[in-house]
Amino acid sequence: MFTLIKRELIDNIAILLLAAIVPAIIITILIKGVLEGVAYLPIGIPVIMARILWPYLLCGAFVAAGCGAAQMNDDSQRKLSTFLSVLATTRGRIFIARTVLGVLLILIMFVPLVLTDVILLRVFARLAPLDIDFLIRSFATILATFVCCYAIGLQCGWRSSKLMAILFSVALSAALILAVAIKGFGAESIIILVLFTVASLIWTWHKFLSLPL
Amino acid sequence: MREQMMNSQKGYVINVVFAGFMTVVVLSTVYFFGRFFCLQTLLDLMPSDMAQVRKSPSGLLGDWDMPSKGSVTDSNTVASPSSIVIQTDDDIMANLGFLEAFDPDIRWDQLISPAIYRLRESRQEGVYRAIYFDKVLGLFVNCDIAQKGIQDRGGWTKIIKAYAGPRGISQKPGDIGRFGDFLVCSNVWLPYIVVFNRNMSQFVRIDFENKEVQTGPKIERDIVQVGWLIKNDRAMTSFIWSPPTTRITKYKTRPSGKVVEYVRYKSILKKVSFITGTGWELVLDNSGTIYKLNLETLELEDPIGALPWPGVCGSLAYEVKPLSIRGSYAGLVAGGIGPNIYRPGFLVFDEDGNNTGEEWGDVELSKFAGGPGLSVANFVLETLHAPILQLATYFTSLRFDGADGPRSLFILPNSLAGRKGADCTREGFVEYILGLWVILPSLAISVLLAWRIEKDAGAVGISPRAKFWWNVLTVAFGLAAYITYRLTRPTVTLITCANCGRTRRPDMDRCHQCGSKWLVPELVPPLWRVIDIPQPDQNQALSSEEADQPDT
Amino acid sequence: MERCAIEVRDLVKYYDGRCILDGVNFEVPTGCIYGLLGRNGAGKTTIIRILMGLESATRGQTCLLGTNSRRLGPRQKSRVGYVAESHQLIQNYKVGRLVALCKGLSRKWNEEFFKHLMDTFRLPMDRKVKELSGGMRAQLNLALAMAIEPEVLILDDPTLGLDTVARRQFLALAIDLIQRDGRTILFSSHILSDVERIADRIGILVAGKLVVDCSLDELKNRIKKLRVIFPEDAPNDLHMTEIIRQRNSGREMVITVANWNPQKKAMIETFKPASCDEIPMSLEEIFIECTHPDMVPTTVPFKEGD
Repeated sequence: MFTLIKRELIDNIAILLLAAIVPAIIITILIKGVLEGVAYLPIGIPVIMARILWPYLLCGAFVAAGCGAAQMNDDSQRKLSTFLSVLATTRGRIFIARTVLGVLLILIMFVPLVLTDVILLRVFARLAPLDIDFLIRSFATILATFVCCYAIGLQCGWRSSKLMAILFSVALSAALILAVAIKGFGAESIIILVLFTVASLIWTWHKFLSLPL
Repeated sequence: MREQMMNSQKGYVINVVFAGFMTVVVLSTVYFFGRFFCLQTLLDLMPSDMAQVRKSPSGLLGDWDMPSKGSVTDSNTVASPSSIVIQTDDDIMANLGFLEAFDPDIRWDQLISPAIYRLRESRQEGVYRAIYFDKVLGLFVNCDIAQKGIQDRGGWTKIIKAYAGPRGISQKPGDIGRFGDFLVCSNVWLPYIVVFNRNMSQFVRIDFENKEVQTGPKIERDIVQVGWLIKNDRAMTSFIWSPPTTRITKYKTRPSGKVVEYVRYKSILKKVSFITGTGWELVLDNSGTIYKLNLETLELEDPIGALPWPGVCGSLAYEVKPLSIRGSYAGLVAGGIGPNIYRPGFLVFDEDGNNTGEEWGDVELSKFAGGPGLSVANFVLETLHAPILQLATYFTSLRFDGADGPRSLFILPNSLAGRKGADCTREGFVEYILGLWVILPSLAISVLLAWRIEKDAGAVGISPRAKFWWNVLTVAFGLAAYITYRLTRPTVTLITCANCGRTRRPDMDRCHQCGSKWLVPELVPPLWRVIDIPQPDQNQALSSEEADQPDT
Repeated sequence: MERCAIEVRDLVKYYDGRCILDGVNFEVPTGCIYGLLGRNGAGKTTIIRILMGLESATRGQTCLLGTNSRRLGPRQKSRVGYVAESHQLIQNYKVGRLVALCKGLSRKWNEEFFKHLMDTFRLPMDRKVKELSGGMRAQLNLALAMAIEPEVLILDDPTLGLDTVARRQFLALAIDLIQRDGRTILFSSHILSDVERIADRIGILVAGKLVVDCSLDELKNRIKKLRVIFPEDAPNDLHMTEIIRQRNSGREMVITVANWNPQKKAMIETFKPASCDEIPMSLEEIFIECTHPDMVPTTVPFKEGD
């Protein structure tokens, strides 16, 4: 299993770098914005922190969807699973190794945001209670959205054209993001996203285990 | 049936369940934005006089609204009496959830926590005074926050001045009790904080300046708001109150010597304000009844008004505006929008709480261009929604808060089915059942789709049991089920049965149309065989079908 | 150890409405070398891919080392070496990286043997797979399959792309492998001379069915090609069953018969031929006779139960 995970990591290092760069840019904007406003009364959440959540969610979700689709499409084009599945491993393990990379990708995108926000708030906004509920709801919804869009990417990736795979996954992700936009950050969105993720992953798992390689 | 369940059918149920869920979510989102577009366009096209409700004179000023009366101006002519206008906001995007991150309580460029109940800047002293609720301690905290020096960026200090609990105020937390579930009066201009302690069903007044906490009597009401009674103000334009005006004719002499006449309109009453006056606040309970809270005794007085729609949940939005004339309470206007976004309305109550007037909007969609078309489009989109969800909407629409309607994806309390269900609930049982006619178009579409699936399923050899369930699911979920069927339909290329000539599936032992066994006439193998089976173990049996055994 | 390393039961496979395999049954006993033969498109690769779990059968089942092909686990797969017809390797990997990957995934790896193979084939470790020639890719594929010391080796036209010397080297390796106890090989090839050299049993696919499934010696005993000279024009109908092929030219008849036995011999003698000589056939010639387009067509109509 470790061999498969290592292979996925090395093969998809470019995807991980992309997943790191996009959030890094947004977080840089965030830090700059907060530092510029550091003279503000430090009792709330700086507006830039609240407003950057949606652009971050959008960018991260599309990156996750695109990465998932690219991973799966890469497999179908280069016939990686065809080669690997005749070795001493199973399709299930190949799929799990792939999702391990996806988890890493999501953590690379999500953890820096949370850490940055926590550090900035601890440094600059600590004199009165923060709207922790808002932060928790927002972070949980963002994380669920990333995971869901990645799952959609995996589901849509097994196509002959990489471009179509990415476009299809981005389109389906857009529908999910719209659902989150309707419901806002909160339990309703999270429930929809979690159920959608489970449905997507199980369907993809089942399809991957039975399709001809 | 089991022997007909071949490789291509394994995991079929899993596929159907999950594909179905995903289809319902995606379709619901698409329908939502379709309806959103129709609704937004309707509101944009609607003439402004249809979107608003107006009452003039307001009915609260008595003689001040009568012509040839009014002793405070230099003219006895009342050009226009007072008026109240309430209007549906034409930006329904404001109801969507994502705006919470863009339009929360922002002060000093920060998202202020709802736990902060006072925040005032004292410019002379260079400090901010804050009163907030500490969840860990369960107490209100009064503190000063100051910046050390203008050059000292980031150098802030907080000085806690006092803690307040149900039993008193102290400089240290402890022995003053703690608050559990509570409501705070939203009027930030009071010199003290008024809290409704839900655990004890009592009002508590916390005065940090005088260091005293006063508790009122027990109140057996389900209080939901204190102070400014407002909900979902994004959904409607705030009340527009116009005082009575008088017409003043003035004259001006131009440099040329010509005298020009011009007219100004001037408000008759100067001291009209939307406050309750001193000494009391408005309180709203869950049934929609409005009371006066005496801030001195912390007792509720008799009801002085009510919301236009029954119950707090019944309104998409509401706002209550009390009126004071020269410091005396003159009455209030309670206005709002019900589940039907086209129908704003308000009630007027005098100072004794008597209903003196009401106005309701009524949009006639056929009276402006685009109205009928967009309404039909909206109805079609509602009809395409799953019948089972529409049925659930019909029976449960009253259980949902009115403000959730514009954000609902699956159960649509604001749809025709929801409004019909809500209306018919108030009538008899027979009317309640007959009202289900609104779902018939949706059911008709579902039945048609179910028929199509029945035909196709027969051709691809889906078992009768599976076909039955597909019919049930399609009647229940409509288009979503049909799309799910197309997505999960076995992708088996059908071939022509050599016996009956109809299409059959190659992955079945027998033709599902005629029951004949397997024949492959396009392949013509020779009749001879040279088979020499390796000596089997006596205890091991070979497979049951030995069609290829040669004659030796 | 399983009695049969490979079992195929009532295997049916359709591709887009076109039948490729129509109820194929055979077994490969443990320790046997089985040569699976057939013309292009007969379904050899299809059977092998279904065995390896790369595809699913339309109907029927296949078992490898006693386990259903659809449920092969790492333990079973670690005992199987597979060389695909198209030598599907990860093209943009360097050879060294590919080797490390296979080594990391295998439960048994004979490093010494693998090095010996790499030296024999002279394969570079630092070149990308896509930069290797077709033959070198085939050799690499073979080396990777053999390094895990498999109990079952499945080879789908393994010598495709190999030069004569490399083919001989491969055969030598295969024979070396055979000599280790209990090894089983299933392979398909179009170079029948190679098959004839090493195979114990032969299977021939024709029109979706396995028409031959027996040992090589048995095959040569049971399929006979005869040149018969008749006193007059050769008769069109010998009233004999299991005629594979028949060509008449005046008094001469060349006939290929399956399941040759004394009864069939007696049947020919009733025509009092002037001579009846057997024409010895190699495996290649037998194969050509069995799969030639102008085989004797069937005249008996199909009925249910056939």
